[in-house]
Amino acid sequence: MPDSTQNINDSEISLEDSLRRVLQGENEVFEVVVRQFERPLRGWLAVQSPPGIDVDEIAQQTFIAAYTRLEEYESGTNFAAWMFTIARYQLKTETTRLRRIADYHSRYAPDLLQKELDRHADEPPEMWLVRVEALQTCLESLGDSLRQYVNWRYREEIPLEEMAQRSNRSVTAVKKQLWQIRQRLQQCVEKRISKMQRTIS
Amino acid sequence: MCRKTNFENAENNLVTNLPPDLEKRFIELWTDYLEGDLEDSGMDELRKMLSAHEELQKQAIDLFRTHRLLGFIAIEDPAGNNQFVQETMARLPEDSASFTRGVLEKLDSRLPVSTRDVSQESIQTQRRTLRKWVGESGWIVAALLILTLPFIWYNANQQENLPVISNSQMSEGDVRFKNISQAQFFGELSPRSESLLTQKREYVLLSGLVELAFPKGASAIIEGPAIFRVLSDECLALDVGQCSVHAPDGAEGFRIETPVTRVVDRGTRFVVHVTETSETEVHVVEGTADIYRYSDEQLQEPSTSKSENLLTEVSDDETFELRLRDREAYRLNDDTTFVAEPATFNPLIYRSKLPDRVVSYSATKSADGKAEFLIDVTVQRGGKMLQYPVEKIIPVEVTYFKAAPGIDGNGHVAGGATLSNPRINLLSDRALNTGIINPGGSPTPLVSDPVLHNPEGDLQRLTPGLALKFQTPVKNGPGPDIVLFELQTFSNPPQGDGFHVSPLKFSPGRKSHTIRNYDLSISSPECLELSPFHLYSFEKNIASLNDLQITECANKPIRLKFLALAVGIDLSTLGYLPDEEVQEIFIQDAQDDLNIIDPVFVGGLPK
Repeated sequence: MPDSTQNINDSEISLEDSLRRVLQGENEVFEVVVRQFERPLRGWLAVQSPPGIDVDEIAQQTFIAAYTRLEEYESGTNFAAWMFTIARYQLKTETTRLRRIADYHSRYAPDLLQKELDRHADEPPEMWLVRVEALQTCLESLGDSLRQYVNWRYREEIPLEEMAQRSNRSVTAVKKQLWQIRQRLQQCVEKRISKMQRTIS
Repeated sequence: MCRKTNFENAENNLVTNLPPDLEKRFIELWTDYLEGDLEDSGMDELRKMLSAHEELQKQAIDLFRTHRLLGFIAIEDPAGNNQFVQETMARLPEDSASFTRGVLEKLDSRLPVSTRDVSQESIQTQRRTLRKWVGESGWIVAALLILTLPFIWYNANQQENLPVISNSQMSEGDVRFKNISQAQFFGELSPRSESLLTQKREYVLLSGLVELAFPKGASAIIEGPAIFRVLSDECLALDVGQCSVHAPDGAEGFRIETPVTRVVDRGTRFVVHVTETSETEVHVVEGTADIYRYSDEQLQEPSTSKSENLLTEVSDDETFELRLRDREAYRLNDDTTFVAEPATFNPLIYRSKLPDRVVSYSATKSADGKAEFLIDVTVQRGGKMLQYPVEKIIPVEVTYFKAAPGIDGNGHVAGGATLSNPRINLLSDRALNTGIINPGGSPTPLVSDPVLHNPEGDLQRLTPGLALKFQTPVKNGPGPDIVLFELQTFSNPPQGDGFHVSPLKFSPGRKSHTIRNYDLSISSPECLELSPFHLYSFEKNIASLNDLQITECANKPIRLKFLALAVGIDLSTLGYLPDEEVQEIFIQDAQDDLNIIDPVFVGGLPK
């Protein structure tokens, strides 16, 4: 059984200690909190945000809001849930603001996505870690040649034309390859998640 | 025009029932979209395609999320993470006062170019953003954010209720959440009962009910969906939704502000209902209420500031527009002119209290500080709060068990590191992290007696589910008569696993009842995190109690975070008469999804 929430929860006791110390004025101890949550928070925001949102900006605003509102957090309850609640609200605020910008829809077409993103908004943040771990496992099973395309596209961010040159294929063929890779990874992740849910419930 | 690509073969096909040509075109367009290559005409085509075919929307979002996750994984590295942490720490205010000052400075200097330049530089040079894999046009995003950064600050902080407003403007008053029932708030956890509300903060109640208690004795029950704010200790702004108000002696003058009118209590019970178009209906159940209209200037203000400007008491020389008395109802609107017209009075919409329910519970803590054994349960029954120590709760015995066909990978027993004997006692004990889980079920509830025995030995004909017998009969009293706890983690339905509860013996008037929303769901602060436990899985299908007891099983420690959810079951919903005694019930999973109910404690409440 995957144990994705451990990253968040394992050090709950030291987290509570850290929060107490921050409240007592040791502001620098808040770094413990940021370190513990930056990965899940940025990752969660990445999958929940429509195009055009600066994910790191929202993540930082969330940490700042959590820091300034720390007195409202009830010690011993679920800090992760409390902080992700702030993140949800920050994201909603920013999404609403962007929607009001005249050419946002035409430039990024978030209306294409927003309905479905909203539908997933209540998905527990912990699920994101499960999803990212599943994706990492699926990536490893891809095989070197296909993984190369993922590296080019997402790590090196080289243009499609260059990818086409490197692979000696047409741009159209590269696009098709990327589609197939995403599709295959998506199916693999869904299978793993579904198996996991059957195991948990 | 977007470039036409040539996605030809079936290898790319989606799992849809759509014509292949349409799928092929969607694949072309969506790939171009993700690659930032989609031009205006293609965007229009894609938009039309998605709005016409819901299944494509799901496919699109799944692929979008995978695309974003790939980007996230690709750029993850310790150095980048470290940089993010350092930048975040550098942005923290030294203290909340300096934070407030900082924000106010940002607000003051929204327009000067120099401030924007600094922000621009800091954003462009310091942050390793995730935006780079948004698409080819990431620079546009950067420009957009830079130009609008001050407004982000302004909006985010205003809407977030961060300390952008000084304490004198924003403070906790003495208005509190007195009771909460299945409340889901947008973007935040449910508050605890007795917690204070922050004045002027917008609360978005998506579903469920909350009861607010005001210092002078007025109470307001708000039903979701609703948007509301507490403006003062005697004033509530209701932007949309329904609210039942009771203002006893001493609380006269309590006010509800809606987008089009102000309702002032003169010692009464009344209901205010505000629609999304701001049309307001007021039904006075008892006493008198006065309706005041806003001035034209006030109506032109945004609703938030309007309400804040109306904080002053109603002056003596101000005359009300309309006085409503017992059993009167009016519909009010103020689009262009103030319109008040009589409406049909409906006393049934007034809500005097929240529904009976499980309110909270307490449990012993194990060495790791997490919940283990139930101590007591607090239940509202017949409007009264009653606390039941676990010793007084009537325990159950499992008398029948049949799982769904096949092997459940997660097994049917939650227990400790070693398995107690007999295994079925794990549902009768007081531990909240042990139980008999994943029983069989049916999408449709029973309408006749479950088949628990088959003399011909055909197990296929037996009814899947779980039969429970109370040690002593449970008498049907007001509100919940039985409490059921289940364990649940965050990847399971937050409202709890749906189930049917049925009489073991049907007779005229008796019926099954389906529960899909627990009183204490995963978002309830009252739910406690459970101490770790073990799951016991079996290599064969478990079709009887005997199977459950003697079949060899594998032990798997569980470290995921699980909470104990709780719900009350009212025997009246099964058709039992008041004071009728019930000895046995039958429980089936509702089979409405892949998640199956995991009961860990079931008990009857003494009357």
